Amino acid sequence: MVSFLYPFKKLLKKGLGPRGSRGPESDGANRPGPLPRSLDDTLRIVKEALGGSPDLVIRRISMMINRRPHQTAIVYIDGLADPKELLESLLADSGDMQANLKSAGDVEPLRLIRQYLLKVGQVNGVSDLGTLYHAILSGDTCILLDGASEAIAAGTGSAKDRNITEPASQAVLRGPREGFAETLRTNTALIRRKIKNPNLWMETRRIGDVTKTDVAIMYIKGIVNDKTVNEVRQRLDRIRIDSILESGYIEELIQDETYTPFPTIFNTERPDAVAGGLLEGRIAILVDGTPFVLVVPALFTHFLQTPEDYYQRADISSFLRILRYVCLFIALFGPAAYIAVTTFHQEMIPTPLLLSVIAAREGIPFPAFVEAFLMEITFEILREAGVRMPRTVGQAVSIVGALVIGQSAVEAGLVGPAMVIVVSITAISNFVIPSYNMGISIRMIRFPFMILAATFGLYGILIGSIVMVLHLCSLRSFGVPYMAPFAPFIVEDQKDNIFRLPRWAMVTRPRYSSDGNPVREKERPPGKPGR
Amino acid sequence: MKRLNKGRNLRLNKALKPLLLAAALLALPGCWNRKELNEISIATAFGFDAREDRYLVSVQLVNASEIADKQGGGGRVPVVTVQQSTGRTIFESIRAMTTTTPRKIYSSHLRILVIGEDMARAGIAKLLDGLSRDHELRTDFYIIVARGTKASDILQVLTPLEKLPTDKMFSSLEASQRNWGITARVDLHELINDLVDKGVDPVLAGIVIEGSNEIGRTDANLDSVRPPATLKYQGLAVFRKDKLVGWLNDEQSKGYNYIRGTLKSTIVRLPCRKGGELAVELIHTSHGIKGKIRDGKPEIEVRLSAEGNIGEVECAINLNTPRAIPLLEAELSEAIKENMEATIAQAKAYRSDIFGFGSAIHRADYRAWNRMKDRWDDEFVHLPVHVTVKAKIRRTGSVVESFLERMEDS
Repeated sequence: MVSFLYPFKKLLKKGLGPRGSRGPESDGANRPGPLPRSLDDTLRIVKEALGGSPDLVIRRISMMINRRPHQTAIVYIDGLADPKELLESLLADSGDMQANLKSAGDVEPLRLIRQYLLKVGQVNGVSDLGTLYHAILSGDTCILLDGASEAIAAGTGSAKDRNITEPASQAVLRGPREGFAETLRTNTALIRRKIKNPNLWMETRRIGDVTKTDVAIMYIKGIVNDKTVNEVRQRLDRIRIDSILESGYIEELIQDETYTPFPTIFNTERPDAVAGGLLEGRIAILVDGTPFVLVVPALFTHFLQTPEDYYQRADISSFLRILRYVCLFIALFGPAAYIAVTTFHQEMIPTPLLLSVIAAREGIPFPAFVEAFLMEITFEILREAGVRMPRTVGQAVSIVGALVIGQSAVEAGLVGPAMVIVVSITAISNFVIPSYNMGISIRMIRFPFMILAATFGLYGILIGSIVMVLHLCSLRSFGVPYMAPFAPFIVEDQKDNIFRLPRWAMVTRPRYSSDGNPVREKERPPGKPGR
Repeated sequence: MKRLNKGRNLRLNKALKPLLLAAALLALPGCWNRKELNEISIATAFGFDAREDRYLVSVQLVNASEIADKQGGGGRVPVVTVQQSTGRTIFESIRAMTTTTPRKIYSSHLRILVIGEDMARAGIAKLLDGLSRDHELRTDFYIIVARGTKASDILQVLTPLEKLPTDKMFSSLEASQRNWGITARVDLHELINDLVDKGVDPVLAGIVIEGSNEIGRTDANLDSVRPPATLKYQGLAVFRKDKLVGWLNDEQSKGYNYIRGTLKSTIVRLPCRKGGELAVELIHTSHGIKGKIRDGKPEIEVRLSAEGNIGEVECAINLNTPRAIPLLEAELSEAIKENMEATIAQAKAYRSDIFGFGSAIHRADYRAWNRMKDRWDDEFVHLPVHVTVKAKIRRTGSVVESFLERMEDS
């Protein structure tokens, strides 16, 4: 994969040459180094480094510590940090402070502040400029002391976060209504709230030379396959990129295969879906600044499952899953099959149906393929317009769409009514696929299938399917065969594949992701619980 | 950089190979027959007649835009059109039709093949090869004989109720065999099998035009409440080898279906003792034909068990006694048996083994069959056939007693 990408990377680097070679990192003021002893020097360097930005707040105070005045500065970014309480504890209540300091005796002033004065949970020492910048830019409030070799970074970050709302992309009828927000900490907390277990481990990385985005991987120690965790770590560490604005960046850089229409990394906005994945021994990758969390390894079948499958009763879920697979086939082969049957295999249509199809197509100037292609493209245009357009004009598009596709095209004799039905059912089937990116892939593959159908008929569709299945079987997601419970066929994992068996039958975790520790509930023997 | 180029070439090869394979696909599929729906016209019926030493082929084509026209009303155009052409071979004549039709004739949806009686008397075997050879034709169309008329005339009759005359022919053939039992549904496969098999001769359903076939060709046929011309199945055409030799009447046709076991339901009329008649509806029959060689002579046993309900009583008869039903059952068995025997006698008169008795002998004793298969026609004429019929009457309908009896009492 990497070797495939190589020329492209080269190209990118060449294209962005001048900017890439002289990034902000190499700028003189930004050069990381130890903190200067002098407070004035430090403040000057910090100011310079941030370009004298007006949202940088520097508050200088003189503190009486051990009966000696100490020059101190409080530095934070306005809006990112909320240092109200911190300032209160440092500036007000001098009587209390004096008492504390008296009892402390002759201690280093920095430690004094750290130990007794700061009414903040998270406090770190900062000894070099690089860390200092990052702390300030992350919303920490830094306390600098003249003459000290270290500074204090207090966690006062309070970036305005969006409320936790229902995810727009994956709605459920039954199940939690919360969705991830944009802040990494909020998101990890949402997962923690679901899995209150010390074995839920988290590691963070800072990726992106410019953006310095926090990326966290979460997994449950003891369930997860350690080799997969290592693989994720390695792939994340290999990333060299200036910016990460969304988890899609990470997805593209760590996926197993670039040249495939199928997604090999699952993404979701739902904490319950991530928690479910973690409990199956999968790994979540959270990126600061986006509600979309990646889950790996991702198998083909995951893209046709919803969290709700586990909240509804088993029979309902199984029915819905079968329905989704049916829709998958309709979405994939609908127009292709129509083209093939009406241009090559007319003998396959029952006579009365054929007659009405012919009657409907009478006077249509285009071959079936062009007809189908026109309609599909029109639909794609409408769909894309519907997604991008401001909400307020949405109605206009739906009216135009209904009239253009539905009625006028037929009445004008551009397309037959049968084709409208085929395209509509295909489009609706496509939206049944719960995962948006899988839906898009299926929609893209539909066009080659239509071309195959128009040139070779059902024979072409068959050849195309064989190629597609071969390709699917050759894919891997973090070492796990993409088509896993189907190919290789794992009998015990069929419990949660097309069918979802009742809870008591799902004692074991999926085989591929939970090596060493496959049993979910150790105490209970497998089988239906007694009453 | 050089290494990179090499890698690129390798990739190119990798990409080229599937492309070449895909290109091979273009040449590999056997039938390259892409055709848009508006480039074909659907043939629903063929008709074959003899014209001097040539074939006269008539094709009934569907006018699809008319068929789906919901509004109708206005100026009606016939939903079908019949095109004809002549030629020395069937295939040639059908292709020659492209000179008169605007589109290619598509015959996968053929439902009915009508053979004119003249043609049938001359022999039908030669007609069938082309039909079974052409990949476009399915073999599930029914073959019927235009009784006393030409196939082309049959195809030109317009029918009420069903827009397509072929649909009418097709569905009334199916319905009448199942529920009345006087026709025979024979498709191409069966017909060819019957022709090839020495132990059985084919039969085909006969169709006639009742009324004026001149008016039948026009819209006028659809305008009157009682159409001046109707298509009607009548009797079965009996073939010896591939030549039509005679007809079975409706009763005998029913007897034929009893013996072949192709009859699902029919009505049997029984005379009452005190005058008048009653009708029994057979709801289920099962049959068996068994061949036997006794003293070197072939013999056939035909067994039929039938179940029926009393459907109609038009005479004074007391059904409410323990003896009444068994008595009726015996009468019913006797009536069916007579019917079957009459049919066998008629077939013997035509010297045509339409029942497949020869095949039954073949199955029972192939050595004996091999000895006699070449003179089976003669054997058949003298073949002893033992018919046993076991009829049961299950129900008497929603009433037991006929009110007719009470009327007489008072």
